[in-house]
Amino acid sequence: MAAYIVRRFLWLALTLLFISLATFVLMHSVKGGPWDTDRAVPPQQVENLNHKYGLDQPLWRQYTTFLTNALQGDLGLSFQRQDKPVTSIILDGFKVSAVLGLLAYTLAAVVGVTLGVYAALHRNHLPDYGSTLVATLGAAVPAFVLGIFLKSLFAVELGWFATFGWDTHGGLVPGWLPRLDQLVLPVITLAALPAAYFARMTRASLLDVLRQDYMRTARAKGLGPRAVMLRHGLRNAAIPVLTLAGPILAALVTGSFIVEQLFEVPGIGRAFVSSVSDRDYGMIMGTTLFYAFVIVLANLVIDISYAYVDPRVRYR
Amino acid sequence: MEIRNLAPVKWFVVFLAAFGLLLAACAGDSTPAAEPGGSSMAPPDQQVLRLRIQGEPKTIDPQLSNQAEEVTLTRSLFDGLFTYDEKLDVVPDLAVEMPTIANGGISEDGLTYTVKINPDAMWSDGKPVTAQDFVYSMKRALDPEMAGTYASFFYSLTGAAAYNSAMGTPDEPLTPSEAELASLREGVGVNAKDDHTVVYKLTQPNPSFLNQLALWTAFPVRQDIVEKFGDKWTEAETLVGNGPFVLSQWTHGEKLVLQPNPYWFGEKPALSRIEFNVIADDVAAYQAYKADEIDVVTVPPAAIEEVSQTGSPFSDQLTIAPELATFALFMNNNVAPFDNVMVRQAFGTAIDRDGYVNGVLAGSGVPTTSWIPPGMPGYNAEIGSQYKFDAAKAKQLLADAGYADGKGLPKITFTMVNNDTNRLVGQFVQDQLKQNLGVDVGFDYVELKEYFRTFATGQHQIVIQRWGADWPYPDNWLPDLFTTGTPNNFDGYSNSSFDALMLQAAAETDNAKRLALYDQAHKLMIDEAAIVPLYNPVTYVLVRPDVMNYVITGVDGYVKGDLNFDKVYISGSSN
Repeated sequence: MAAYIVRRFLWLALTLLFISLATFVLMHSVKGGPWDTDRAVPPQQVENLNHKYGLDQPLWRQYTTFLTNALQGDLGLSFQRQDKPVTSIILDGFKVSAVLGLLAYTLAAVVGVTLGVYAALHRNHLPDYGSTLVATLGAAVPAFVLGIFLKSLFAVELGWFATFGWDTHGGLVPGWLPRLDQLVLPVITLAALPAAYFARMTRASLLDVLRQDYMRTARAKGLGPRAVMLRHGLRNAAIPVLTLAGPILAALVTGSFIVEQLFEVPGIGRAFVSSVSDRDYGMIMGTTLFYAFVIVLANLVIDISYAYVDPRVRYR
Repeated sequence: MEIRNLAPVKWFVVFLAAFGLLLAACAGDSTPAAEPGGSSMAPPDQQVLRLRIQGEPKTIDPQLSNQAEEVTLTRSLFDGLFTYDEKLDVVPDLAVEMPTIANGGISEDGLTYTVKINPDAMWSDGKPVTAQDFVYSMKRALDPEMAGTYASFFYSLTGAAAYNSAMGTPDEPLTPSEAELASLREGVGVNAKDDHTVVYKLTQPNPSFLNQLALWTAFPVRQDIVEKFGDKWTEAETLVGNGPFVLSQWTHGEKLVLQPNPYWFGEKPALSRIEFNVIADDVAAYQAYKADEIDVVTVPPAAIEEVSQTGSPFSDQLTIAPELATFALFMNNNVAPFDNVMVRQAFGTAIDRDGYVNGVLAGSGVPTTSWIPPGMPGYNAEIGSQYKFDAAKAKQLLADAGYADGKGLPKITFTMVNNDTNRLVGQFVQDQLKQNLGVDVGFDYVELKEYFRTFATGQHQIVIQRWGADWPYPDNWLPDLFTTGTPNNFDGYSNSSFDALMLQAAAETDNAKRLALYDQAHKLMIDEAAIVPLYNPVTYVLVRPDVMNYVITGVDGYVKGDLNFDKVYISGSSN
């Protein structure tokens, strides 16, 4: 197991190195640079800016400098938010995205798994159709449609919730959670799609498990229906759901750009997209690497967790 | 991060609790009841102005600021020597009086400016504002290591260009020593004669020097604070300013909150709090206004009809604010077919400007054929009247140029920023040129930065581009753009008579005579279709009816009204 984890970490490092190089090359080959504006910038000012942000160095040196600094946790300065370290912008944004993502994840998992189990136990009856309908809607309606709908109805028309913002300064938990009226809609919008995935996956998986011989055996040896379901049914049904759970968690905590944009949540997704159009080289490199790191790490954690859930899986 | 230590179960509990609270909150109506009748001014705790900015300001450091949001913030947090009144005349702010030749503030040769500072002016920590603060800040603005992008506006100061250019250019970089930099810095023509008198020395007469001193780049900052806190000096906890407001909270990416500066030398503002909320999307901002979450908003084009139609609930909240800006056809004078003056004139005459601003832009502009916008000295509506839309005349011009019905024209491609509005504009312009000139044009929609690179380095063939005033005087509109070889001469226009008029105007000390020279050059440049103006943009602004004294001017930054927040108050009667 230990050897396996070490090997995976080496692959992780290699993956990140490749991603950083590819990003660096692509970023510098796109037309238009960070200093281009609708005014002509005098050449001496271009030089001042290049000097300040290290762009007066040859490209290969810019890359090696980036790598050396990145290894020490320093991702350089943002051009877009003058002089603010990229690392601190990412961490600030990630904190917001992760809180939003975890809330949405929890909601999605609870609602999705509940719906799925309920549907499987009432297969081909009204509750099944009902929950399938909800799940299909959740999967079919994109976040921006759902978000705009929820916002127009509950925020603009009814005025129950805020139309924008994630103000953690005076929120539910200062520094972590915003006001309740700012929190509800983005969380629901972000949770809808993964909840639908969870519901469908749980239903399918549980139906499959219910047909298995060991379930019959469990019942035959005299276990009560509750024990059969909890000890044999749900535990086995959880494995495919877990496969899905990892990538969903990674995607949610690294931020959903659409939901962040729709509800003006200052998360990492928003910072990432604007960095590309601003040619904010520091931010582009930093956020790309960070995303890659989180996603690769999440997959690793899920792979390791298989070993605990599924006795058939053992890593060497 | 600590967040990983919380098990999902705990989060679920938090979430359930949140839902419980939510239900409780929804049960009661959260809007406070309005006082019937109401007094003229709301109590201090309701003196809150809620505004919207489009993005997190890059910086609020005056010497580094250059974008509209940044300008809005610096103007509330800092005061310069001069500012603008409602007519856009330069008036004293921290200066005791306007320097003139008569009062000795300006030397006879126009090269020395002596400005006296109001001794009552204080920083937000109670220390007096001194001439040394202005000296430090001006040198800081020009410091090549600061790399401020507005530095070149102050190149008329002696030694300024030399100091700011010490690093050379990308083609010829230089590596000055610390000593060389220090001596160049010493050579910049700004000095403190005494604690409250600052003296500026110029290399040549500059009619807009006082206008430039009214720019945020010339606002003072505190050397001790900047040096003590470095990059973090503009945070809420550390910033010391001298404007009507101080920064009390900056939640990055989310909002900035301002409160009155207790030491400000002017009359204490009525507002107890200004909130700048980051809302990136225009439509989202409009919805936030409708939901009573912000007090002022710029109406997005899609909603202009809704707010301006008769019977709209917003009609009494609407202000149509002209911008000091002009959109024009920029045709590269060095690239065929636009090296032919008659082709440029034909294109300029072939576009129905009324259809453009009303049909495509929902009325967010006023057609024009002259370059300097209304509301500015030098405005002359008569200039360019020959380009009023006339399809027959346009066709004739094109035929006279040797391209009857567009035959023989090389391929023409507009470069445009890829966004929804521009797609509509492109469609419209394409139809117009086809219909009125018989010319097929193509469009190249590109990303913003790619567009800037193409246009600002003169690699375009034809674009539609805006120019906005940095300060309200013609020298920001004519010599900076159309003098032979000047960096912002994007189209490569060149006319020796025009160049001569610019030199003459710069040396002229009488304002009326100078404006007459600019007018002559303005007409010359437009007659030759160096560019062809299309329209002056206007902004539709909604301001809640209980927000009083909200004054919008043409030089406002991102938030309209930002020059006058200190006079705004919230009325007590309900809306």
